[in-house]
Amino acid sequence: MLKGTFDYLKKQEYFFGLLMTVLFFIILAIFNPYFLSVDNFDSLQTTIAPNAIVAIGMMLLMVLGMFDLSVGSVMGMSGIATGYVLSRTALVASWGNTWVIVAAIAAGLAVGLIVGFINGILVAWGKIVPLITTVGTLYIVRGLAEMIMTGKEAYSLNGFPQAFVDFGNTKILGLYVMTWICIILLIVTGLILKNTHTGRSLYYIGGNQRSAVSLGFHVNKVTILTFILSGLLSSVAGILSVARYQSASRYLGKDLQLDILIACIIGGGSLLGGRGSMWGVLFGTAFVTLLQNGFNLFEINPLYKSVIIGGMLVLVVAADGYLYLKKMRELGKA
Amino acid sequence: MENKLNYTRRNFRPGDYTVFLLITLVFVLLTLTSNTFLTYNNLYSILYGVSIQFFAVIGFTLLLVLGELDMGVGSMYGLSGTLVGVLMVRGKWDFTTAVIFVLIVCTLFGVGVGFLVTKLRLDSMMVTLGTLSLLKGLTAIIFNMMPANIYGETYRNFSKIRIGGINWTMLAMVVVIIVFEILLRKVPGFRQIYYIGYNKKTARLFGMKTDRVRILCFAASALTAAFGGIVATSRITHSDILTGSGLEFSLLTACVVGGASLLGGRGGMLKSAAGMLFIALMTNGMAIYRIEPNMQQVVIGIILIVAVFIDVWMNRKRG
Repeated sequence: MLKGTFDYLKKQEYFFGLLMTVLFFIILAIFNPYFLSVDNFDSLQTTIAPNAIVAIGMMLLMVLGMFDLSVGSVMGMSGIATGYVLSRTALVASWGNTWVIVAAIAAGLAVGLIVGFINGILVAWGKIVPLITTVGTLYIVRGLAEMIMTGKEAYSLNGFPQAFVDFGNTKILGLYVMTWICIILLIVTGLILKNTHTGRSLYYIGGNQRSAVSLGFHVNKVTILTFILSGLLSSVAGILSVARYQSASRYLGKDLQLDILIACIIGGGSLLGGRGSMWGVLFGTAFVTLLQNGFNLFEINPLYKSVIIGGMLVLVVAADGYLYLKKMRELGKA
Repeated sequence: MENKLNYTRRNFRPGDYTVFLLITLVFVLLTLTSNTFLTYNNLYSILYGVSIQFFAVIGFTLLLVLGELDMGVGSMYGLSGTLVGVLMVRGKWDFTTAVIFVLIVCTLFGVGVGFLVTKLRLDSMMVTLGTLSLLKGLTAIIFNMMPANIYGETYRNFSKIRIGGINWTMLAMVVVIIVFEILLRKVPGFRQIYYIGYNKKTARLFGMKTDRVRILCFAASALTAAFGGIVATSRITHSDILTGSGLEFSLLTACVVGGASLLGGRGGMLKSAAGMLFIALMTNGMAIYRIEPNMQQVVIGIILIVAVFIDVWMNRKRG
């Protein structure tokens, strides 16, 4: 039974991610007494949940053979937009808590919707490669966010209505609301991806875009919608983080895109498209988050973080390319 | 397929010269609307700034002509200057040895990246996105290893050497542009960069050593970026953690505005320099109008996307 399960898992794309996560979990649990504490578990779930929510969108794009580097900026900007509306005391006084919270969340989601739509249009209709498009929007959105945050608002927005703060800090069965939202999103997206025609079409398009076009798939429509979804999910992550931390700062989501990209590739996604699953999102983000957690627990200088993340990206991309090349050689195509 | 490489005079295409038109336009606009723009000091400092960043664009352009992208240039630019500084301050090396050593190390790093990209057939954008973060982190670590101070005189004066009354970097820029324009047009070894960029498979069938050329260009990109970084650090007299951050972004914009294509096979040294001048004029103009730096970032982002869009659109029209 156990061996059968192991053999099954070994065949899965996300096996490497699972292995790394388990390995890291064991290492951290053995070498750091603080790792298994309740506080650390809380901090872990509030990091994994937003990361995984962002990674869902990224993984869907990777199945399509694309990626979105603007996720971090969108997450930050959405958080700032939400925080900005919520911290208008005059607005709260005249509209009442509920409507201000609704408006704030709508403002946050609008950011993701708009940026995702622009990304999608530029990639699908403009035929601009995803890297340039999303690096462009990354800088543009980050610049706009910085503009809002300079001057009068100093460094962070806070002083939110209590109901919004409660929303971010309520626990149900030991898990935060954002963790529940993350789990629901993972399950729903996973089911849609594997079982519906729309979901499966992502794999067809990612596997071979040209033949997907000639088979009558609406490639452009799917691309635009997936980019919008990626933007919206980044917004959700931003809003949830703001609710949890009770403040919106300019550092929210900064340089997040590389972490998420690494998480998705380790979780079995491929830059070449056609591969990826929601299990991969879960294990990939769990691994990246544990890695970060390890940095904090062992008090490693944060400066090393970007070295390790960068080195890891090179390594992961190289491994991805190597495995693809090996497969192609076996098939006699290269 | 008809050969439509753009560097011969026979294939004159007005679209290739848009950047010069843009420069003239911005120049005239700024001259008319601002009285601080058209002064010797302002123009001199614009050109001086461009001439230092221009070093980094040399290798970057070659790679772009090949259809590859090096997102790590900015980080390399930041690393090299700091590395020279730390060798001189902590290691008591003399300036020349330190510079040569750093240039060799950086070039080897470029060779490594090129090796990964060609042998494993990777997407150079992705790999160099990794090196961007990697090198940036390394710079930060090295930066924190030493006391914050101003570097010694030899290092500081490196960028300030004047020949005939103007800084040597500006003369170097002119020389490099002329040399590369000739090399890229006349010398087969350099011309093949265009052929490979235009169609890699055909180039290989014709017996060109595509992998070797690509690796060499990656090395060139690292080397020139490192050299530019050393000059830049010399100019500001101390290491700054922000040196070169976001440089890859403005270099890419400059090259594409200058007519290089992300698909490869197009672009040139003069055009890239013109693209950089255009960006510098825009930045200068925005500074004159007191548009805040973050907005400048937004504007450059928009220019990049628009330029790439036009590039794709024109290529599609060409069939």
